[in-house]
Amino acid sequence: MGKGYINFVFTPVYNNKPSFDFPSVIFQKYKEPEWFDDDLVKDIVAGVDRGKVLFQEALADRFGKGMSSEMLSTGSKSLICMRMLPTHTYCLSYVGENCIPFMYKIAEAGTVIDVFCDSSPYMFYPDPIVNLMSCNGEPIVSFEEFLDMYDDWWAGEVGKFYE
Amino acid sequence: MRLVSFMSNIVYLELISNNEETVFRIPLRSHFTMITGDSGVGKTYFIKISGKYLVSRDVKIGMRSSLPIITSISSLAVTAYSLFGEDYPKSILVLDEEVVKSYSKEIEKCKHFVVIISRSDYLREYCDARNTFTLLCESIENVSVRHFPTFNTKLSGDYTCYFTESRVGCSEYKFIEKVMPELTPLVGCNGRDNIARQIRKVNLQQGSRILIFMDLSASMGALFKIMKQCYNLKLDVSFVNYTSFEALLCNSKLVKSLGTECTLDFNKYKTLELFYEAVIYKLTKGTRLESLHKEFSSCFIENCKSCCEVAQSSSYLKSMCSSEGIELLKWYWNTFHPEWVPLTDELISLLRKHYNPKGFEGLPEFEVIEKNC
Repeated sequence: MGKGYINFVFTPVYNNKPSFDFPSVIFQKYKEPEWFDDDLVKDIVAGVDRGKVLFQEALADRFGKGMSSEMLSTGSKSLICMRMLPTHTYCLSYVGENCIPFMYKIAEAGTVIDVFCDSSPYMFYPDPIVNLMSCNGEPIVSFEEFLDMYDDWWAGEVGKFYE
Repeated sequence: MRLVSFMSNIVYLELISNNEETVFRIPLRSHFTMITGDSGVGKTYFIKISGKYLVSRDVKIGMRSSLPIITSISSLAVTAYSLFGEDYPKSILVLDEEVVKSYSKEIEKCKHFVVIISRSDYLREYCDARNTFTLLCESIENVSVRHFPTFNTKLSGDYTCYFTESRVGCSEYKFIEKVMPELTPLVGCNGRDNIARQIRKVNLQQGSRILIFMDLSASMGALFKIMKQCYNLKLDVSFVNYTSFEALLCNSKLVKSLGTECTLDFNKYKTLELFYEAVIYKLTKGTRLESLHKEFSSCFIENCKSCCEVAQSSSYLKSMCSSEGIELLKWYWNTFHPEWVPLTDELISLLRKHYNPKGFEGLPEFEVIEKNC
């Protein structure tokens, strides 16, 4: 496993890192204009929202019209924060399947992304990159083995739902 | 009977286009309906513009229904409206995930229909797999809604393997084993969230056809995992199209023959599955058919002719000839018993009219009317 990876966790608060529960609020609170100078952030804006970074927080939408960074999708905001704010634990449910390639890119660039599995990691099928993944800080041997661990944990969560 | 009136007076949420024509008509069949999908497709944006522009003279895209509609991406708006007070009229709440997370307890118990925009597995547990949609809203001129995910409920021929969410020996497993013994091998998965794992464990060849019995009324999360797992293993998966095993029993000729009624309100239950668990108990309590979630009356699976006033000789017809079970019965009957009189559409319409008419009253089709926007 390299320096950066996606660390799946089964608790919303991992290693005392605050949970990234409300993306639009957290993004608004922490964002900096310089974040948008980063090439990977530019890729995220282009890849998920089909927008373009003109200069720092000055963005163009998919139709070429001006847009505020507040109008980015929740998935984009989450990815940008994963890249720029690795001090939080992120909820998987805030990123769609089209965000997965960017999560890999962020990990490959050296960031450890702590992700709470409030949405199913089955979404990483059909091409999970196991050497960029860990579970509760431990390397994953096979994706199927990790899914077994996830299924065991989720069975307990579902049990609480029906209590 | 309240159950019937709820089903026959189903509430729809209509999405209307700029020229005020209905573009999509979404049936709200349970307490929760989910809109999900990729990031950046405009789910939240749609909520923003539909509330904002509906009152404008120039742009009229939005939603309408027979009930008031509250759209909100803001927690502040939820508290400002006092939506969860007793005095607030029954409405349709269209809420973004962040609001739902803030008010999860209130939303779970509220009397309103709730349309959630989310991908959370916690919320998927509430949602009927047949009533989940993806919404694409690039601009006010380009809005579309589709069922998501699409999955196969058309049954045909024999399958390589059968999976049920039930534990081995529990009610649904026992029912399939006894009434449809040809369905082998049958894998009891001990919960629908274990079905994807069991599919991994059973060594199936690529292209194998598998059939899954699970309660679609509360299985959006499980269905998503199964679809992903089957796609990865290149399996051809089909699902039995029923609300829940208890709904099948509720609509059966046996239960309808009891003539019992109950007045439960489905909005008091997290899911339709839990609602039907309560209904079957209420309808059968104190009778020979008394059934609970995990233990149901053997009358549903035994052939009997005259043991009580509601006795019916065929375990196939008495349990499965209803809106919930007829497609399953038709497939099973014609596939595994070609020596019997074929169960044709004509024969089904006769059975529907004369054998168990009340069993076909309950559940309207899941339909989404789509027009070009």
